[in-house]
Amino acid sequence: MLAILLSTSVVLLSTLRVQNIAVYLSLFTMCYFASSFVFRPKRRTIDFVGFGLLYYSALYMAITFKVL
Amino acid sequence: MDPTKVRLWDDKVLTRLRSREPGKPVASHRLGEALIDIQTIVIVGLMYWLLEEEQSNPFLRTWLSDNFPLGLYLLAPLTVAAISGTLLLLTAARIVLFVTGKNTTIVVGEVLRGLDVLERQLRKLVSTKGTTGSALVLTSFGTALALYSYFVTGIIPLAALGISCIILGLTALSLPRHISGGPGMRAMLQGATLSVEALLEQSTVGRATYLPPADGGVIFAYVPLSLQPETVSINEMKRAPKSLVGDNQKGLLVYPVGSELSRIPEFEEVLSLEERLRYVLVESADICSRVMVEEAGSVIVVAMESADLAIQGQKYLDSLGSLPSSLAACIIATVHDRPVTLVEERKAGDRLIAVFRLIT
Repeated sequence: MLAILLSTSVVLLSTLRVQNIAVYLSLFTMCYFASSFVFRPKRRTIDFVGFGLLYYSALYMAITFKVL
Repeated sequence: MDPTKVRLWDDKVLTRLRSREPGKPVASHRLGEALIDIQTIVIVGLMYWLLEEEQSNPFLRTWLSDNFPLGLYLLAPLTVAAISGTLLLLTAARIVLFVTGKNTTIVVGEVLRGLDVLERQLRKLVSTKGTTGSALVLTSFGTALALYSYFVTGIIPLAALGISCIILGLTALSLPRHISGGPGMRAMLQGATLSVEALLEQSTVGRATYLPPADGGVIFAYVPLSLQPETVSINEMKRAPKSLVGDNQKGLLVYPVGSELSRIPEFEEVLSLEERLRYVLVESADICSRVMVEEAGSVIVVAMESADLAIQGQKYLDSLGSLPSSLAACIIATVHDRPVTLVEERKAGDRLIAVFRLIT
């Protein structure tokens, strides 16, 4: 499901000619947390992918909107 | 073992116990820490200044393009943001560790030991686990694609595709190897406890001692048939009868539910205690959602989140502990190849805290 969501996001945004990587990363983050919320998978470790996505998408969005 | 230290585990929810109390840092140590943090902040500042300069100074850009093309990629806004963000995150973590009095040397040592273990784990995962090997290949491919597309060809959708491959690969790595638990597994485990429950039903029982498997055998639990602790040697425990034979019997050997856990093929590999507990309790039996282990000398504390305590009967609980703790005791006895006993178990919020003691 996550694979479908992520590949759909890439196709959708590239069709819309989006050239900002921050937008892609933010949509990936939303897809990731949405699928995690729905399926609630058990994990071997802490959700480091979620933390990383949240951190870097927030950072890139802050730069895009010139907050930083 | 000092009981106050055991209590401390509950209060701090298994944050790492330090054997030494955090002492007063000496001035040079503080100065060194401060210098490293200041250097990091200066590096971030310099990177930002270079980025501004590169964007406003065409001569610098031409010079970089002629003499140091890699500099152009390094001074891309998002690269600078990623590097600065990571550095600032590390610095913040260092400052937090310093302020809270935790020894960074110990933390760094743990990280290095973790990396050493990680190398062995990665080799093993690639060679033995098909899905995990595929996840590693996907992550590596995604990294290469993202870097090449972003820095060399400049095609953003392809870079995004690479990032999505990295996300998928890392997600696959973080998921359990298999989930086989559920209501069916719980019902079978409950059934497995009934024979022990029936055997102990008419007796007064004390805390059991889990005996490690001998020569590839099974794990036994010695159940004393009195509440008062008696000094019974390990050899006597091993020779105890496996059924009730008389009134003056001191104890008996029973097969705990986890008696065959020493024969799991994956356990022949170099897996840590925490990894084995996670394999059995979370991934296979699905009777808790997370496991954390702390070892200090002969005392082992295991915290189990959302542990299911309503599986076993009362006698099983009184002697061998709850089923999650009983399974954990079997694994601990196998890993350390020493008898182990459950000292106490109690609930702390959503967690079940079980304290075990290895017997010499």
